[in-house]
This record gives sequence, structure tokens and C-alpha cells, in this order.
Amino acid sequence: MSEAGAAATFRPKACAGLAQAELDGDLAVYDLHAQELLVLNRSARAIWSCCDGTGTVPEIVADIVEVFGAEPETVRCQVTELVADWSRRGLLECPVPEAPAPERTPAADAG
Amino acid sequence: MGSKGILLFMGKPHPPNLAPRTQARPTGTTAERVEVREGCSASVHDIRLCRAALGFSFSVASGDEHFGQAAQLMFADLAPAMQPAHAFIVALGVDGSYSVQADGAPAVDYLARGEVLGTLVWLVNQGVTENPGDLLLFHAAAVAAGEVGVLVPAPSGSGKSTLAGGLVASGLCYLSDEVGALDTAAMRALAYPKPLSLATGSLVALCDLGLQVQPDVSGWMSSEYQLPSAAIRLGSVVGSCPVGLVLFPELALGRQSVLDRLRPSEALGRLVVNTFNLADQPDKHLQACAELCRTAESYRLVIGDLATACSLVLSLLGVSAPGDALLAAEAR
Repeated sequence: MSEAGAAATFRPKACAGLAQAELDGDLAVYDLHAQELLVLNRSARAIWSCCDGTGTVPEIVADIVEVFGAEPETVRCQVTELVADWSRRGLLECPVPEAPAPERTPAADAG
Repeated sequence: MGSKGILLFMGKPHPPNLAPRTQARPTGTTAERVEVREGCSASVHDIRLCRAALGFSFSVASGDEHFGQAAQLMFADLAPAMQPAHAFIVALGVDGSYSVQADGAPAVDYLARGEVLGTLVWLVNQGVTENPGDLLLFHAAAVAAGEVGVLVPAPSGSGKSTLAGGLVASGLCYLSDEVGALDTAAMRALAYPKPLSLATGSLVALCDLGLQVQPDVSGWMSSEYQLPSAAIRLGSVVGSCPVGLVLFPELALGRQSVLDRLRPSEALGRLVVNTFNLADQPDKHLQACAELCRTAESYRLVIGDLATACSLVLSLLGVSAPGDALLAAEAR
């Protein structure tokens, strides 16, 4: 499978062993190893709850769009950004596969 | 606040070589002389006290009468223990140095006189944090104003002990220093009235509040003071209290003392890094921290000078002057 294909089929899953607690509608997630606390607001919390290893990022985007009725491109950007951030912080079981850099073309270089 | 003489004992915590305490040392009833190291022994019946500190009960035996008296004073506010699970023996060697044995195993050897009390307090503290039971323990001081418990979590050197001492001197009740214990079922801070551990500068700041310090010259002195709460104000210890206020102190001498209200999420971030045993029951303890930040008001307190910082806290608690807090405490 190509790297782009791997990224498209990647199913984010939150690490086991993270402490979680409700805080006024937000969700506090504490990484005991890194001693780092994240407080997720309601929309981030909804995306986090989808990271259970069953859905791909496009599927999570579709779920969030359906539930919140938000603009798909905005949701896609937010989901991609958050999943990448959680991956960098080590909060996901597997890191997000890196998509290949776009090929440089003469036209793009001239851009 | 009435001025009174303060009996001081000093002792620098010494990194101990403390073996895991899986076995309680038998507390025999017959006189027994224990050789802690060569040329350094004590009878377990020479001077002995038995105390309970949260989930940690211990006895202290020492052949040194003066040390025994000092230890009695240090731990006077802790509850008596009938069958202590752990045993410390402090022995004076022929070379004049002290050794401490914990549960039958060497803990620390070759301590100078000025180090031994602080080391014992340190070892008891370590025992408390290693035996939390169901409690959530914070690196914190704790005091109380009536039914409002004030938790002061912070890393070492942030001024929590100094602030606690200042607030007790101003009339608030004393719960604990270094280790703040929360009963997560009742959301109450529990008393662990160990002596306050104060650096010299902290003691000077307390003197500036009007306390008259009369350093005890028995020789238990090094670079850190161990100050029993009774030395600040007799009868200042209280049993337990629901936490209504969380203060995160930052020592910044010379700057303006300031209180900044924190959002619950900000407070939670500061609180969790000051827990001792969150990992024991991660979800339960994080939920307790979140509950604390949701129900108690949280503030960042910049301590520019102790008197102003204490005044800010007293105002927050609705105590207009130190004398009011003292009167309220005496009325209770």
C-alpha cells in the first residue's frame, strides 16, 4: 500500500492507560508518562471519542459533520490537525502515517 | 496574635538509603539492645514514641535522651499509635555521629547532630507517601479557616510552607505541610500535622509577622528548621476540612504580591503535577482532582512578601484581619 493509502486507511486509536475525567463538559486527558494534561473542549472531545480504532479519518470527519452539521472542509482540517497533534504527543497507539510530500512540478516551482 | 517564644529544631534532610519496608520490626516487650552499626547501638526502650501519620504508623526509639525529647515535640500533634507497623531506631555512635535504622535495616548512617531530626521527619514523610491507602496525596501544605480548607500545592521552594506558617500565625488552623491528603470520597483534606519544614529565609519572614523566635540551642540545627505547629500557635491543629480554596504559590520576593483567579482547566493542569500517587488509581484520582478544581476556587498567588500574601488570602476567606481569624479559631 502507498504511504498516501496508509494515511487514508489509518484508524486512530487512543492509547490505553490515559487517565480521563469530566470537567464542566470538557474532557481532561492526562498522560501519566509524559505528565501532560490536555483539556479537550466539546468538539475536540467528540473527535477524541471517535478515536477508538474503528474509523478512518475520513469516516470520523463524516460522523462529525453528520452530528454537528458543520462544513465538511472545516471539519476535515480540524480532525486532521487534532489527530496529528495527538499522534505527536504520543496519545495514539500508532502514529499517523506520514503522507508523501507533493511532487514538485515546473509549474509549481514557477508558481 | 500573641507573641510567643518558638522552640526550634533544625535538621537537613539527608538522602536515605531506605530499604523497602515490607516487614514491620517486632516491637518486643523485653529490653532489647540493638546495634545499628558497629559501635552504635540503642535500646528500643530508652526513649520511645508511637505515632500514626495518615496511613503510616511508626515508633521511634533512641538512646539519646535529648533527641528523644526533641522527637516527642516534633511529632506531638500526630495521633498516638497502639501497634505501629514501622520502627525507627536512632542511635548515637562512639564517634558522635548518628545512625537511623528503619524496620531493622540500615537507613542512614553517619549523620551529624544537626541532620538527624530532619532526616527522621523526611523518613516519616517518605513512609506516608509510600503508604497512601485510598487517599490522594499532594505535594502541598494545607490549612483551614472554619469549614473552608485551603490546599496549597506547589513544588519545593515555592513558598507553600512559609505561607502555611504565616496563615497559621494569622489564626488559621493547621492541617499539614509537604503532604496534603485528600479523602476523595468525602472531598475533605485530612490532617497530617508534621512539623513545618522551613528554610532560614522562611523563618525570618515568619519573624517579620511578629513571632518572637527563641532558637533552641540543643544543637539540632543545620540548614532547615523543623517547626512544630504548636510553636507557631498552640492548639492550631484541626482534624479534617472540605477543600474550598486551592492556592498555587509562586515565591517572588520583592515583587508585588498578587492573586490571580484560575479557570478550572488551568488549576487542574497545575494540580495534577503536584500529586504523589495519581498513578495508583488514575481515573479515580484525576476525577477527584477535576472535582476539586470544579468545586473549589483556585488562584495563583505570587508571594512578593509574606504579610501581604497572607492578607490577600485572609481577604479572600472573608477574614478582614489576622486578629479576626484568631478570634474565630479560639471561638471554635
